[in-house]
Amino acid sequence: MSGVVHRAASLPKKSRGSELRGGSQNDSLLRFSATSRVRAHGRLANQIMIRDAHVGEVDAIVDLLLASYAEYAPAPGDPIELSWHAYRRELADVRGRWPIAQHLVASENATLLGTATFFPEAWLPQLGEDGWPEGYAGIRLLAVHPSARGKGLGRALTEECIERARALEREWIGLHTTQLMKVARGMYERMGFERFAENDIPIRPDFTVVAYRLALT
Amino acid sequence: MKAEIRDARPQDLDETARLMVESYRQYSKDVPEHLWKDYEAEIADVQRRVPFADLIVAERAGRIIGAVTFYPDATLSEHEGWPEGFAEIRLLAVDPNARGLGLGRMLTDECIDRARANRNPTIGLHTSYLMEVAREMYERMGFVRCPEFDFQPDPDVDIFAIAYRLDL
Repeated sequence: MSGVVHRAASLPKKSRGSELRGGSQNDSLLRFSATSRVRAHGRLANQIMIRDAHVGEVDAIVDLLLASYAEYAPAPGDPIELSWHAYRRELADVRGRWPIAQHLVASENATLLGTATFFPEAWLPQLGEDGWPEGYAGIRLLAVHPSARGKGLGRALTEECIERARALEREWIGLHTTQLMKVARGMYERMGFERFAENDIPIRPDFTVVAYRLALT
Repeated sequence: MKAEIRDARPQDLDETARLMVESYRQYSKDVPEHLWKDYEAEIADVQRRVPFADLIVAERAGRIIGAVTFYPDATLSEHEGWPEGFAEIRLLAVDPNARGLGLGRMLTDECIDRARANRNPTIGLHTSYLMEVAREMYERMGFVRCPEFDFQPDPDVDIFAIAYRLDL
């Protein structure tokens, strides 16, 4: 797609640095550098960049997630309202996910237009019911601001996740979506994701969070 | 208990800013008040640096006891004048109660490792004559003076930021 630059695709994707100093396997996978970000900020003004978020952008990511998912808010009095409030709280917990995820953003200058959360190790217990079997990477919380839709940002963010999962030699990448998210579902299916009903999360008889996965090998 | 060297998380930023100010406060009496106030505000402004730099912390028992800022591209730091290709170390800080344990050295080594991984030919830093312990450590680690990158924060005050480099 045109106009979107994936951050420094030639950079080594794997982490570097200090396994020797007691960092766990997880830490080493999750470590990323300012290298790609500084290129984004410093060199490519006025282009949309897909890059790692930095620790100062957490509040902006929370705002973006809440604005992007607002369209799924149930009508007042709908019995699903309670779980919607719980879901909003979970959306906003970017800090809680930070240690086990990579937070990707699509940014234009310093403005965040889209985000996705990539889990290099989607089998970690912290993922709870969104977890996947060993060998899976995971995508969660893909969001594009309503004002920036139709530019291919959702697809570019998803592709970045797939590329990272491949670089880590994961066998699968999984994600959950719902019947409400029609645009996203269509996109995932066009990208080759297939339904994986074993990992569905039933919410109530007429509402299921559905699982998709893509084989990477 | 060993300290863990890791990237700062969002919830660490305020604590890290406080640690850095506390660690540098000993120099407040050695410089004129207006310079210290400016420097203190700059040290505390972690948010301004994180888009361009890795904020690396030393954590022990849930507390941040050390920190350093690593710029993979020194031309994007507030210190102007570094050439293309240089990485930069800034604002090395160790809790006054956790000195002598090698944390400063571990944090500096982490920056050197990252610069090597990033294939920077050189890593630079500024220190001052006031910061004697740090300066001696850098020299033991192989850093050499490069006075062409020294600067004077205030032309009316006789305090210099003195530059060191390590070729990788």
